[in-house]
Amino acid sequence: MKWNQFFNTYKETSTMNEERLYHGDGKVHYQPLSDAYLKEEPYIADSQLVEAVNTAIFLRRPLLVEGDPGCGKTRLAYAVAYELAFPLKPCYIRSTSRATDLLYTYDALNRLYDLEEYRICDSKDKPKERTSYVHFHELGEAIRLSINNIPSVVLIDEIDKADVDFPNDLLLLLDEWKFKLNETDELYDALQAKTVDERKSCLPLVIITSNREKELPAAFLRRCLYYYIEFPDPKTLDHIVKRHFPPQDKMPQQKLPLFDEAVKKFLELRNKLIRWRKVPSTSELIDWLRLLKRHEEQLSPQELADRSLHELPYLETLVKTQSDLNALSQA
Amino acid sequence: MSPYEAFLFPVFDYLRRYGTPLGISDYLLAIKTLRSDDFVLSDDAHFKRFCSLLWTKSKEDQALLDKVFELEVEPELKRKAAIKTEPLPKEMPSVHESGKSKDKPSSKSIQLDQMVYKEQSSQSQIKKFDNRDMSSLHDSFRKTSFHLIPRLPLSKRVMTTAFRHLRHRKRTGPPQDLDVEQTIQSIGHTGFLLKPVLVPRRRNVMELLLLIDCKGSMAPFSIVIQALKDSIVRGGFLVGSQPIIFTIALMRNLSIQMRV
Repeated sequence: MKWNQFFNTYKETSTMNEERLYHGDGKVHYQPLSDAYLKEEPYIADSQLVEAVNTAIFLRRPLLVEGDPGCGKTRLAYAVAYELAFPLKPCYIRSTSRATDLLYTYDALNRLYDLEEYRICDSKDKPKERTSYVHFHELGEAIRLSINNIPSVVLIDEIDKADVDFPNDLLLLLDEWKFKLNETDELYDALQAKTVDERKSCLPLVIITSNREKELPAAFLRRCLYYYIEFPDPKTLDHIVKRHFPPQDKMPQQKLPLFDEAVKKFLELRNKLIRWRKVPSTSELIDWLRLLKRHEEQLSPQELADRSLHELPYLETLVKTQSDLNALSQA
Repeated sequence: MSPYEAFLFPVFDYLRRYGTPLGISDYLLAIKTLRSDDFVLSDDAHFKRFCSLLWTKSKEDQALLDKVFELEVEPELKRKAAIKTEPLPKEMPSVHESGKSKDKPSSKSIQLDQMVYKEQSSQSQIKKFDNRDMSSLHDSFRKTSFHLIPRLPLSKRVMTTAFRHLRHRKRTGPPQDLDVEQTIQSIGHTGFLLKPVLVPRRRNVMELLLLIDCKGSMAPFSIVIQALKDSIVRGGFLVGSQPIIFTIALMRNLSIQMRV
């Protein structure tokens, strides 16, 4: 791997805080940190994506990932957290999301009710402290972990769904890594009066995904590293399939011919239409293979090879729109 | 100093000129990273990927980067690699040997002198190249650059930024935010909490009307018109799926805003 040189150099220079690097092979390489994401993630990344993630780790800049739906943008964050054995803080963005929603919410209404109850009922128990009504959310949790010198992976998923002001509101936060609880006047500062370079091994690694439904502001883009996930080459695709469907001990060879044929058919299908409304991606392939595996007795590799593209079994998992289906049957 | 550092400015300048949102800090970050002992570029392709990761923000920007590398950076890198890997003659004598035959110059020592001179000149060329003035590199780049990527007079990104100014925020929709002031006032009036006062969230209620003549003699501008439509849709400032009707008057206003 081309990153090896950097990896070796960096390994030697790391001192107290071990700098962890992403390998892209879906295996854990480090001692898990507290609250680390430990659910196995069979994600295979090509060398260029590995390089991009490691540059983001080195610079501690947010990594903005784009690509066709189903190419693995969101799963990348899970895979990075799993391999680095970091805690994962996923933020799923909605159209109503605001930047402060990623940090914390203050349940003012509940506090109001509690105070009212205390006042009217003349309760002997004192009302709860203000801080009890603060609920930290993913990015806020990640900053609090950083204060305790624990890095994490923060996923900001589908940022283009949010209001146009959302990315701008995140700018200062991602630059300064601090926020203030206005209700309690508490300050959480991940940098702790140091520079990003001095604290980068403890800062969260932010992975942002976008489907480019909205153009992101220039000021926000400037602060991000950008990577477009292309559809994997056949060799990487083969690794992905093997990682998702490892051969079984009893019959290690039996499933491979069907899968080989299925991957060939899938690649043929992808290249059949020039203008897809929704081009089938890696995620669709995995779903399709899962179905084929489930009903493997009903279909031999030769039968699959003999079928025309619009007669493939479980085609609905690959082709998602009627216009694509029509185009495929006419092609 | 990394040998790749000399290429940073032409690439950076080219991307900036074609609308990629980059600032001085992005340029300085690239230099700082290249100079860092902890960061090693494995080959020329890695340098390109590094520039792409740091400075491009879309697939269109990546196409620009490909072009500037193809036109300017890759030929220079190849030339540099050719200078470095120029083969030496097999029967080249050692420097120690040449010292022995100093008094009596033979044809072999003459050959050696020529070789040493050649090597020195190669090294000086490399040195000259490495320390090349960035402005001269930039000038040569400007003279030689010639490409046929269709570019819009305004990039989609600039159009979208212009449309972002069209904002008229109003509280609309279901009440979901707590109005603290009104709630306190209500408690003040009644003496106890009857119910919290909730207000709807602020949303942009701007409606955009544009009229575009896109048929007949305006047909050649279809790419610009499509980009304009895309920038409105991808601007994300319009709430819901309200229809877009196009008028000439607002179009003029927008073009003024874009120029500003």
